[in-house]
Amino acid sequence: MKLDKYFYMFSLARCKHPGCTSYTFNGGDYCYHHSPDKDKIKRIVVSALKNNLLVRDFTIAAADFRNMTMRKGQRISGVNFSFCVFDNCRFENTQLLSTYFDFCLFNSCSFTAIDGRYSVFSGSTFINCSINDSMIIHSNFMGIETDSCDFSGNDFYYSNFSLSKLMNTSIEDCNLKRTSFRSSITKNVSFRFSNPEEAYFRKED
Amino acid sequence: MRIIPHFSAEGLSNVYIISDNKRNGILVDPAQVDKDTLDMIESYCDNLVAVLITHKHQSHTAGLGTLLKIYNPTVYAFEGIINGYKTEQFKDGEVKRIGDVDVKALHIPGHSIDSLVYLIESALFTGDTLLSGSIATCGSFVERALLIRSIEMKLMCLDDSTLLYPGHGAPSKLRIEKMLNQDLLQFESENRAFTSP
Repeated sequence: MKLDKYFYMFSLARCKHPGCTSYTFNGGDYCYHHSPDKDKIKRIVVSALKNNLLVRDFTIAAADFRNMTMRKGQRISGVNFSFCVFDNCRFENTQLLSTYFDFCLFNSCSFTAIDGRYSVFSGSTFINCSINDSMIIHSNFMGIETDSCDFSGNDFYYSNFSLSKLMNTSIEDCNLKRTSFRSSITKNVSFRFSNPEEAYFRKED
Repeated sequence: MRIIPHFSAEGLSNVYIISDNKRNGILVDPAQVDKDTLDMIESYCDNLVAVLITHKHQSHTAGLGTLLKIYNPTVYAFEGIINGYKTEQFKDGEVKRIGDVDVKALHIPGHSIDSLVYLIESALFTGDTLLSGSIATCGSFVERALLIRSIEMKLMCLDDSTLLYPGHGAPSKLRIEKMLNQDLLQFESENRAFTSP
């Protein structure tokens, strides 16, 4: 695996709004939700996702991103998108490093040729989405729900899909070595040309 | 502060390099010190000031000797000696200023008697104690109960958005573990069944 010198990290400073424990947008005083100018922050983030080669170091929780095509070859590193909604968004040749998409909703989104490492998708819902020809290793998909998805042609080495609910989903031609599907529910899921025998399905595995 | 994870094929462990705002480096669990690890230290840090040991198992400490031949960091652990090298000991709940960050150690015995979890800002470095979706293996039911009790008392009281960097496997958040960690859920359900009338 090649050395990556582009690991960044969003600020762990907490929002100053009374009672709010969310992380601030980028080390300032407030989180996205309590920021006095939410629209401006959203515009900055949308513009960065569409145009910048490097997107890094911020938290934007519970925002919605619709009908967007991210810049090809983009590197997203150390970004926290918890509880966001992505509707009809396309990620192509994107590098995802330490990026958090936990408890997000992805609807009709595509991820193609992604290089993802140490990223988190736990608790997210994927509807009519595709992840293809990607390497998403050491990543956390615990508790995800999928329906009508195509996750074929990927390397999911050491990623964790435990307690997930996978429906009508194709996980074909994938590397599943050390991938965990413990306690997951699968219905109409195809593992054709993959190596589920090297994955973990039971707690005892 | 930046947190850089690195997968070590030795023991399939995660090595973490923390670079504070002044580019002081802290390395968590030197499982293996290979060229990539050294490149990462050189790229992200001006000075490696500390090594934090979560517990003394070789899959987390095998590279310590190599590291100490190259750098001169202070080694922090629960025990006084790791792999023959003297350490500065952390006690349960103790906070030390290392570089530009406060490091708090929480003693969570069970997997091993010397298991520490380090809290730096809102990031938890859990070693084998708490992994994404599971907890550490233990030698006996008593140790397992001790481990779960310590996790519940000392870790689960932290904020939900606390980031979790385990010694093996994928990263997580405490919210995710509270909701989806199978071992904790199973223990809770067994406990409820055992105590309900």
